[in-house]
Amino acid sequence: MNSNSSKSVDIDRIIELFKNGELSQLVTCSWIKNAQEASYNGYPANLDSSLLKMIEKLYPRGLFNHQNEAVQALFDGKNVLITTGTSSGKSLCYQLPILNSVITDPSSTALMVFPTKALAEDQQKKLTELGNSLINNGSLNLPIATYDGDTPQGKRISIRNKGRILLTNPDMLHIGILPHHTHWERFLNNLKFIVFDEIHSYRGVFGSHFANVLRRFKRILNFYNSRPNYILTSATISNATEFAEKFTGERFELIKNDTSYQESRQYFFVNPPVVDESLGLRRGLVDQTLEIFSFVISNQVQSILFSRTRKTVEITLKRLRETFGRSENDIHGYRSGYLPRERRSIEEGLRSGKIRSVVSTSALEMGIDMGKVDLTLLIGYPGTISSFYQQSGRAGRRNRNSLSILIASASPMDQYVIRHCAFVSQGSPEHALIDPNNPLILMEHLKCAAFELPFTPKETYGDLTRSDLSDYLNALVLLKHLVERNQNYYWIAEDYPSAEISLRNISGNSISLRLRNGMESTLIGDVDFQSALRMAHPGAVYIHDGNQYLVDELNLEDHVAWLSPHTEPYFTDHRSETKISVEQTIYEENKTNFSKSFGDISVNERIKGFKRIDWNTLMTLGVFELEGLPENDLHTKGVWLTIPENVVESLKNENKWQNEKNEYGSQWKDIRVLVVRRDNYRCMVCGIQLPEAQLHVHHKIPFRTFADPGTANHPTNLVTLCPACHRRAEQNVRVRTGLSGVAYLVANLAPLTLMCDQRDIGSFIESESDMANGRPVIAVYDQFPGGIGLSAKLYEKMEEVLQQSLDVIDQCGCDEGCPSCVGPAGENGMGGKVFSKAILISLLEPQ
Amino acid sequence: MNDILKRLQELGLKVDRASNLEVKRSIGNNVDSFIPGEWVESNNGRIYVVKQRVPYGSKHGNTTLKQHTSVKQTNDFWDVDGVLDLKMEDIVFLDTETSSLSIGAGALIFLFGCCYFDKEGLEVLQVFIEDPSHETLFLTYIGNTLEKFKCLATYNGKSFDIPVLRSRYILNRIPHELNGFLHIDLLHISRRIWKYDLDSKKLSDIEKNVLQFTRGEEEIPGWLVPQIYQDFVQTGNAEPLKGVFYHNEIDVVSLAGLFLKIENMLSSNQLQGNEPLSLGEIFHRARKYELANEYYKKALEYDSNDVIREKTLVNLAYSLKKQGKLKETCSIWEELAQAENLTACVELAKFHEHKEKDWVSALEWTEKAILISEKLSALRLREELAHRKSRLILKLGKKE
Repeated sequence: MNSNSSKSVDIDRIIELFKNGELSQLVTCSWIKNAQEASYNGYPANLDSSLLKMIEKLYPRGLFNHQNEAVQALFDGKNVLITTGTSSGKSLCYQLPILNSVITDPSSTALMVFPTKALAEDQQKKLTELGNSLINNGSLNLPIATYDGDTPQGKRISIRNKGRILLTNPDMLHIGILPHHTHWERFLNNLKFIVFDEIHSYRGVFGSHFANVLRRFKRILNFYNSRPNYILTSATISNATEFAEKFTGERFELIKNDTSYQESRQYFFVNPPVVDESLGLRRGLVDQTLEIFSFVISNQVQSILFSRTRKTVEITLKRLRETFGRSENDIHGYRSGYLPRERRSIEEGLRSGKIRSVVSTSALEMGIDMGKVDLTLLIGYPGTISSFYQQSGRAGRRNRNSLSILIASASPMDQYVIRHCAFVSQGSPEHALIDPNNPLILMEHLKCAAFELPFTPKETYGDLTRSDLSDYLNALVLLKHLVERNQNYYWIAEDYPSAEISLRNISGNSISLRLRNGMESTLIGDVDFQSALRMAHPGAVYIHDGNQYLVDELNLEDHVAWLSPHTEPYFTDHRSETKISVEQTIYEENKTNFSKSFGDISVNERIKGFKRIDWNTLMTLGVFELEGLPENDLHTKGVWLTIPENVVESLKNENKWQNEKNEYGSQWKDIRVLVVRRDNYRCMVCGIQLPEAQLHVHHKIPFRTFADPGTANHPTNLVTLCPACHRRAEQNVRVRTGLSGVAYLVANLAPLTLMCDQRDIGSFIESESDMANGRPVIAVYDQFPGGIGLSAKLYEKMEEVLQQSLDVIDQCGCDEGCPSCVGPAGENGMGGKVFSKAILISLLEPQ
Repeated sequence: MNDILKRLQELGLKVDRASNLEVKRSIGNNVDSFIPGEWVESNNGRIYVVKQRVPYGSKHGNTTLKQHTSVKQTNDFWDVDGVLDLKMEDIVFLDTETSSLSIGAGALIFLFGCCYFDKEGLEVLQVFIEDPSHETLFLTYIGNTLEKFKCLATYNGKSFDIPVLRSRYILNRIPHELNGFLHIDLLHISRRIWKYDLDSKKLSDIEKNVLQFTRGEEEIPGWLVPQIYQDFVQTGNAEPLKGVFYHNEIDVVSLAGLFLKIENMLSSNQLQGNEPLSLGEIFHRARKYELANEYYKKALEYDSNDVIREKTLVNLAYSLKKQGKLKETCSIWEELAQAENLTACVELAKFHEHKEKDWVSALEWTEKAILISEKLSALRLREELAHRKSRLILKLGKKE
């Protein structure tokens, strides 16, 4: 298939470099997946003869075991969930039964839903090819159509009236098909199969929305007396079956034994070397990429480089081209935003071997058929194991070795993964999580559902009890969306409710960021209300697409933040005051050294100021107060750990920190006297009055985090304390430091298990918390009102995440904490690493 | 307040109507207090039926309601839309009022209005439901009413009223015969007839400008209808619905009036403005070239500006060309070519090249066309012409 100039020796030469050569020192671990021969098992029984003839021609050796198994289960009337690996022929498992059904039953129809447009396009192409080969066999012309936002109005009616196999996406199902289901009467009446492809991508908010779209869909199918079979595919996740069942409310036969041919592949995990021992700084990702890539280029090996964002793709591409020239070693970029024509030609270039290397986002990860290369280089862990395998799976050719390399970034997540091959190589610990009963999401979809069909007295919805359902419906009556007559609930409002919901967000008001341009202004982007307070407060440096802007004004009434260009070499970090209170504890468990709880919490956040931080030294240049920003209340679900006093005391007494004497500067003596005088020779905590020499002057924000003593020693940062209170203050700082290090790690590592983005969860610490009768607390919560299932799962998995956190600390080479472990030395001072470690060890002490 | 609602508000749900969440339902002032009609009841609920009569001889704007027999011209005209040999009594003019202006399964029809001609004049029938729970009876009644007719006449009913009505039948699992009717959509027809004469083809504007009818004070604009109905459902106060009934009644009577107006126009051949040109185009598109020519020629008799005159001539030439009347066609092209009409020159070039095989004349016309096109910056046409020119030169060269 690939006409290619690279030879198997070239790839072996590179493998050798990682094994024993120049690059071997960077390798933290490696493993080999051996080639696997395919197991064939003939063809499914009872297949239409023209279809059988066609697949006998296309697949002369028969179908794989797992394909036969899946098709047979569908023929037996079961729902099927397929979780075999990448390029294991999953789509044939649904294409065959569907084609068989539309051929043998002239009215039957099938629906296929793909998470992205690109996947739908690709599938349409493949299906049409299959359909065409059937036509050549003298069969029938099958109307296979894609129905999405791009389908021209003129074509839609004919698709509705004649389509037999329909390909669409969740958004179109939600907004374009269900609310108009009467136009689809024929199609829905005859629906035999529903396919949901790549269901692991339907998680979090998107998945919770989509699960509700599905609940609505099932009501409508019920109305038309249709009982289609479901075919779901998913990447390997640890809760695939449970997730599929929660998602659809159906039972599934799991097909997971991959019997397809698999190429041999060697995996290497690479950690860039430490360049600053004490700060734990590693060589940058792009620099490391360049070093490895030089060997790829010199050995003429075809490769794909995966980078995490569109921006980093461009940066990497630029550096690669500067370093290696572009003429003969043609290096291309690939990401959404490129024209379809460009993309097709790059895919074609990869297939033919003309293009040697491509730097891509995850856009090249799924679906698209573009042949395989010898080597993939993942620049940073892609966030999920399934992405890791999708991307690595692009490397592999028959009868020769292939190679997949992962380079770790400095994030704690990457630093954990890079040292734990087993995390990705042996059984997935990832959980796809949704909460279809999140009240806000539920409410929105109940509106849509009532719009689509009135609710009848005995009806239920998803796993909601009738009485819960009635509560919601009565709320909608109060809001005048519905009227109730004889316990039937009818839609009566004027609006078109599905148009008001975006499946990919929890709706809310957003703030637009506008750049002033004389009399005109340009829209730079949008942020949600909460983020606006943090990221777009007056004085904030807002970074968008690599450009920096200074926020001049945040106008919450007009929902706009006014920006101007920013060129100074500093960025800002907001300082907030967060209060958490428990509304209701749902679960609680007492461990030896801590107790963990899960429940409804409310998070109150007030932005009280911000710091300017030097880009180069990361030192604080100044601290500023902010007044008048509204407080923000988030009611959500959270999990919190309570640490008993005795543990804290023992840690305090163990003296687990180093503290160097600071050189406070030549003017310190004078400043000291000024502050003590200002505070009237009193300890500002207990109020005791003492002679000047006996009093201490304390830096509220530690001296060492400032670039310049003048700012650190500014009187606003100084306070007079007595020795006893000073000791307590310092101890508290240390407790806080330790707690925040643990919280930083948990918040950074939990996404590995919860399959979410880091920004989907928030964390919080308090050394004397009202949540726990004044004891120290570490809390982690869902960043979505009402919760989305993340902290609910974290409650179960907390000990594992704590263990991962300890592993990261243990294996990090820095002295006192760094962004790769407990976080940068922040306003709570140094020494976080040792104290965080002490807390983790005591928490994990066996029962 | 409901607990769930409180919880949702805590979570951030914006409740913009919270101020008047508790509505007091008033009792007693239902539709029957304001609009004379009668309740029809069954196991499937109750509907309110209003009947009114407009006798022959009465006027709707400038149009007199009178019995009418179709003549050839009118038959030819309606045939364009596939409607043939209809008696006036076969047509039902209808309009619906809905709870929402967007289409979708949640849009409820709560008022169905229609009118039809019989021996004594026009009968107007309106059917109303208080809420969706009475819909089964409502739809059955409408179905029985429509059964007596062969043809529906609506204003934008092809895109709105009929699909919505069909959707209501499906949702209530009631069989319907809506696909079996002929259908005149007077919006589409008005768009074609008054293409050059009226900017807006909204029914209210057609009413004003064509029928010269002015609505009374009771009238409320269509976009207010959903809100008024909602208020009624919430409060039970039917008084504001009077305006909706009036609005709906005038809509259907105007449809009948508009239909008569068009029939009159065609049978009397008294046309105004650019109506002859539009009618010519209607028949032209329907490939009734003989009729098209007739109207184009009539249009040329009218006073009109140069642009319209030129357009009419071009149309006429194309229509004649379709009939194979090349001589007549050419003489029009030649007339137009004198006035530097680009289309005419191109057509003449084609004619001389392909029909007459007179390459010298063809080249002359092509060159003239190129000159004109250069002034007009018609880029694509210019490429075509250049291509034609070189081809003709080649042909001439071979001949010599």
